[in-house]
Amino acid sequence: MKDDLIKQTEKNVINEQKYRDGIPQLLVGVFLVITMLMMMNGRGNLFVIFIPMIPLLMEGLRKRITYPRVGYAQMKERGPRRQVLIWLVLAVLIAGAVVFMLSRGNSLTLVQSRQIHFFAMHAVALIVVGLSVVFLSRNPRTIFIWYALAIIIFVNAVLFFRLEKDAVYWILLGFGVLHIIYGAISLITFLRKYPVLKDEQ
Amino acid sequence: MSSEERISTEISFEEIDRLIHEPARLNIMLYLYVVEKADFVYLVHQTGLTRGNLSVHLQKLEQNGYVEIMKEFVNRMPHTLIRLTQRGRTAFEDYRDSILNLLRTVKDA
Repeated sequence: MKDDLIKQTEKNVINEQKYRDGIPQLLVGVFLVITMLMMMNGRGNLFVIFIPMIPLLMEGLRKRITYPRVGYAQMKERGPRRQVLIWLVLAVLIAGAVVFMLSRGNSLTLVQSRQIHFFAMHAVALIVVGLSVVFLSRNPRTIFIWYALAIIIFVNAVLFFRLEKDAVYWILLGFGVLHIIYGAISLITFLRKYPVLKDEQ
Repeated sequence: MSSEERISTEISFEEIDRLIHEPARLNIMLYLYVVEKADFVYLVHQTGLTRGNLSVHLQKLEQNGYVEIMKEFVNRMPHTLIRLTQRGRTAFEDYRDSILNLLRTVKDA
């Protein structure tokens, strides 16, 4: 109770520093779209190379767009729970990449190959959704994304039993486009709302 | 109000750190408390103070050892980073407790 003001201030600062500019949503959207397009063209295992690029791109864009407007603040270190979540997602990611590599082997029968492809399709879908959650989980304004995620998981489950080929890719492609639209709107609003401030002369 | 309670309130007033109690400096301390460190633009944006005004308040806080100011150059442009020291962090927490105690005393009186 007594720390309400401090907690609220911290929440507002985190929101302003990390999410209000729409850059994470834009990058997650681009990542989803590129990954899904690659998957649909049979080059899904290459999507891992985009993952290390996301934080670099994000920091580069923030230096040019965000920090001159709202300033730069290094946030306090978070608890171990978040670190564990990130490592867990990375572990699943690596496992997914290994499965993809194996699925390209010639020694497999057609049925085995299809089964691995199907498993990999859902594994990758879960990975990208997991990554989206990691990037966007602390943004109170994107609560509707949680609903969207719930719908995707539901649709995914239905499709899992019907064995629709590539259906998950299309759903996540649409999800990526939604992220890009939302990110772009947030970015435009941010640029209009916050003018560039100069450092001390 | 009994004389005992009056004494208690007076003691609480004595405990308040006047350096932090000034609204602009309290605002600066609050926004530095929730981060590890921040630049000058962050404080200008969050507090709404002018650059000159902010500089004066930061100097006072620095003189008392509450903040640490680090100057650097980024792409040949001056860049100022400000961090709340451990002393400043403790002082802010003590101030918060003092104010809460004082308000509690006033409410109970």
